[in-house]
Amino acid sequence: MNDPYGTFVDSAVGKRLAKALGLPMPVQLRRHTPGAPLLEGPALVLGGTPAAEAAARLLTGWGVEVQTSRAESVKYAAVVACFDGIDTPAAIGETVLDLGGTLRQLATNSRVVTVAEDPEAASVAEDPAARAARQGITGLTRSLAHEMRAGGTANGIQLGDGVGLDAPGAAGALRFLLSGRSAYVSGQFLPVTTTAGRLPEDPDRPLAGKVAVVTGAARGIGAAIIRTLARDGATVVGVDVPAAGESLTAVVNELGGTALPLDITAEDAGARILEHCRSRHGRMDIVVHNAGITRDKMLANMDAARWDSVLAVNTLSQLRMNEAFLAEDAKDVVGEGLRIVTLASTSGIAGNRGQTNYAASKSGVMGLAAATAPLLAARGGTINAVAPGFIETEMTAKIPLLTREVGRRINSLSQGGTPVDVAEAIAFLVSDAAGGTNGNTLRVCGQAMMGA
Amino acid sequence: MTELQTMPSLAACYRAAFGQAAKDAVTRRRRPADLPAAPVLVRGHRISAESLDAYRRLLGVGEPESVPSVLVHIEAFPAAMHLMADESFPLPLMGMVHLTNTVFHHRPVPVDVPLDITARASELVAHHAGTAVDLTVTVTDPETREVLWEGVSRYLAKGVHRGERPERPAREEFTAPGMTGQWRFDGGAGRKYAAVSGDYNPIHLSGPTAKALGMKGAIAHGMYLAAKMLAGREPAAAGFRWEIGFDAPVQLPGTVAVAYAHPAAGITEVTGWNARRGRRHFTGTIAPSEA
Amino acid sequence: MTVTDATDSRPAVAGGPLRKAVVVGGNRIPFARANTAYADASNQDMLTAAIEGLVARCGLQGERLGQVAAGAVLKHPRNFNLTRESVLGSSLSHDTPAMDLQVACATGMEALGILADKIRLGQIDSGIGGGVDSISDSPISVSDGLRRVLLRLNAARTGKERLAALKDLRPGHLVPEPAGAGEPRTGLAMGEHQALTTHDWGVTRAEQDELALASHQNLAAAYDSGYMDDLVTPFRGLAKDNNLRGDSTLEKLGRLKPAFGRHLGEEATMTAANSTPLTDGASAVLVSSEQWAAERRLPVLAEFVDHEIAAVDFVDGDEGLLMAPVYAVPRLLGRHGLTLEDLDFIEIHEAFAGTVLSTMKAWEDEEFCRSRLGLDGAFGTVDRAKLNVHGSSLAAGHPFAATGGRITALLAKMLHEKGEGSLGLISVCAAGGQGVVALMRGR
Repeated sequence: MNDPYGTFVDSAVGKRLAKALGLPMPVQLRRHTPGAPLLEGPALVLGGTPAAEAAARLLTGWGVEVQTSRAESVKYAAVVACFDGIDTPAAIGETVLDLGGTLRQLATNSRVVTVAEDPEAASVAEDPAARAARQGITGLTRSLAHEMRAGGTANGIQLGDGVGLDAPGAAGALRFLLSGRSAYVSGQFLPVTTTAGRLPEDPDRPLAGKVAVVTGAARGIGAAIIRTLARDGATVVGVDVPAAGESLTAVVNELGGTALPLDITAEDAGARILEHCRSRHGRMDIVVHNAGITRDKMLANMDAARWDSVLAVNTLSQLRMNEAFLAEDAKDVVGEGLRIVTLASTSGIAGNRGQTNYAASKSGVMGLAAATAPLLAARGGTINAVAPGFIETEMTAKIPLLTREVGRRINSLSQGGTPVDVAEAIAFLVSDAAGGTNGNTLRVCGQAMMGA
Repeated sequence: MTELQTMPSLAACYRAAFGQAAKDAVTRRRRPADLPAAPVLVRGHRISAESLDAYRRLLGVGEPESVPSVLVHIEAFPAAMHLMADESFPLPLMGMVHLTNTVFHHRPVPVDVPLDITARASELVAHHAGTAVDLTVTVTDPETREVLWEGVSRYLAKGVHRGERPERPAREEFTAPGMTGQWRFDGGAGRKYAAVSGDYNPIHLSGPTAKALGMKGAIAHGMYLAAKMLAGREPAAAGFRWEIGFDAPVQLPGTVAVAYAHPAAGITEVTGWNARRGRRHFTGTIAPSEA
Repeated sequence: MTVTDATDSRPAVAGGPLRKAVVVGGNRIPFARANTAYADASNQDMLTAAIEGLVARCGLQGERLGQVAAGAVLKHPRNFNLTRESVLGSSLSHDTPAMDLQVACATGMEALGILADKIRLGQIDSGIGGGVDSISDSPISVSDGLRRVLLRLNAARTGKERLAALKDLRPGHLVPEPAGAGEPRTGLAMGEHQALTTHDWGVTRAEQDELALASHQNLAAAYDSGYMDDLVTPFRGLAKDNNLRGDSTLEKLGRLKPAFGRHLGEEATMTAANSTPLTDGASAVLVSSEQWAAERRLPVLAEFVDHEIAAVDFVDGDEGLLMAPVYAVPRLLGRHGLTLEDLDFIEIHEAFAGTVLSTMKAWEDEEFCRSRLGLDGAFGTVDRAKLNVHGSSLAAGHPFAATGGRITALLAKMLHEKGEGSLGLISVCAAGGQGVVALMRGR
């Protein structure tokens, strides 16, 4: 990664200087390596609620040392703060202050996960106090995420009506947020609205036996996604435009899958992907709509070609392919439980100068995901979006230095993410352990100020 | 019979002929009218494996273990040159033009085995442009007395007339046959063939040396054309004849269009010409001895 | 072949029945005119890339194949094991054996024919056949003189011997000798040979230019429609053949001066456009038994039914240099009881437009077919609607050994789309008066 500032402040002189000047001090984030322990220290579970009990059970089962009350001079790798069953904002304080007392005892790259019930849940739609309590947790968690230091993150799990933390989807979300897989996810919430899903037998190979299609797999984030899915056990099908065939070949041959050179804007793209999966692999379990393009221009100067091509590649192609995947005649390949992830962008959330077309296409796919979710839920599948923030890629390396420095620093982790960080979030969302989360957009942005 | 212990060198022959020509010019000597009756005999000449290697490298073909016909000519011909360079020879060697060559290759000629080589001037022939002479060279196996190879080379001494002067025959119109091959000769082709044949006649070596002798530029050795014509086409068991008649010389560097034709079984007729100018360089035949 | 029990699983070499050899997939890199996009790519780079693209498309990573057979016409001595080295550089199992072979421009066809035969016999279950050639990276030989000096220098033990060896060095020795494109026995370049044949058969300039134009237009259309997407994998930034000129016109082609047969004067008809350019490129085709393909869920595109190799004596002009396929095709089709009319697609490698046209004229010539081919009358007429329908070498270019693989993969796809039982013919001429032709059946 070309981050001279990050390298500098990591040095002895740099550290002192940055501290004296109050400059951001990014640390090397803890990322997932297969076989490594979930946490590198004990976890503190606070709240004493049913979710807290479930959390303690789960963590113990995952080989983590669990404490339920703070001990002096212990460095905690994680804190799980549970707020379930709370029906008034007045009841939050005790656990929050407990949590606050722990913050100075957090290790580097620590994790704070708040667990609360979903403020959007139907059961509290007309209960102002309960909803105020639940929604209050979001503000608390986001603010805490800003206050976390040394690579630490704070995220929340939002449990739907009738969903406990021991539901597979909730347990899966907890594990993801505690693990190195969520290194660049901070200030975010994973709503778990159903008890669907399943925890993997081998947490290092959650996608074993699955066939996964990744579009735009030849380079950048797409290549990281397909590598990560393969690492997690999936049989991969790499799709990219024919012109990218050379890099696609290299990526696929490294992983042992199949390459399918294809223009996703073609009318029959969905049919061809299905046919490839049908004939070569007999099934299709996972689709990652990663392929996308940018054609930046201020709206005043926008032409039809730039507008149309971005919408065609980034949004319309996905609509058409999803239609094919969900059609009746695709059921022999797709089966139940199809999991789709589409790539959105923080530009699609906050907007970005010169990117009206791109932002439209990316906020479009978030809408697409939300509206496709019921169709997939009906057959046991899910669709979610992932919105990356500033990710260090060949593309962002071309941004002018100062703009790039601002882009990579204005987030709670004071650094850019890597393609792997995006890929890890996707790998989680396409796994059965994320089966309770549907129609949601997860940001992988280090809690960037942009689009907050 | 003049018997020589070793094969004379061509360079020595050229030197002798050049000296003789200069002397004749000063003394205004008249050359004898008749051909020398005595043949030249070289006993026990061996054609070395090195010569064969050098020849094969130049022609680029692998052949049976026996000596290619043109290499026999190369090896035996200095004996004839020795005759022609002698002061007793009726025609001046300098400026002679090679007209034709006819060879009967009766038996395979072995490498590195003693051979008896006899050369004699067999006939003077009146020609419209001067007087031609036939030199016959015979290669014999000293053990069996069997004639292995027999070649007749006809040379023309231009402008030397002795009595009758035949009419210049009507010039035949040359129509190029269908091309079947092409030989490219680079500027160094004359030097390369000279290195193999020992024939360092300056008209073949370079533009300047050829111009010094009144030529337009260097020309290919006639026997190099014969060698190319025969390359890869000599029957291993010998028992064949071949002949070549030279027309316009091949300027170096140059490209010769060639046509091989088979008018009857076993008979190959070869034509070489300049495709651009439509001028013939040579015609040749390869045929079984009895045909 | 003896009649055997259909359930006999013994290979044919051990007394079982012959199996079918099928084409499963093919891949090539785009072909590049010499000294352009692949100027710095070696034969090994290109062949490896062609194999890797095929491996990626078919999911053959780590697979041990029966054999990989390929070759190059122009090959560096250091590439003596070119194909094996390419396998070792690929994602195939390193236990996959390989061989280099060379039948000039028909190298790829012969490689595939040999593999298909081994599959039929039951000696192997799968293989990749193909070829590669680089004009840009062609070997340059030192002169014989220099070679002798160097060999002696190498053998010399004392300084004195070394000096003695060196004293034979001449400035002229240092001029390198590029690999020639001429026929050793005639000294004629291939184009000059074809010019004679083209002239003999009275093929006109207009006919040749029309064929060349059709080749460019058909291949350009194939690329535009995405037909080439699963036949070609980009290499070194090149995504399609850079010789391709889809926008050419007969007027443009008509303006070119003859490049070959100039001695024919006004009757010279062969130009740089109706002759293939010197090209770099590589191709690879996966062939296997039906069972092997089924076990790996690989599509069976076509059956590689049979192939025939032929040669003609061109040395003294008895027959044209590139006319061997004219003799091979009637023999091949004859033994299967087929005629030209039975074929759905006919792929005649466009070494030169004149080659294709002379070939077709010869088959239409009663006298020729009677006296030379031993047939009762004319062999037949090639329906132009079936000929090189997605373009051929005039448009794509012709990296000698890679052409067979290019055509085989293309025809297999065409036959698969045409359907079960459709028939296709490949005809590839080669230097030395040789040619390889093959019959394929759609699946």
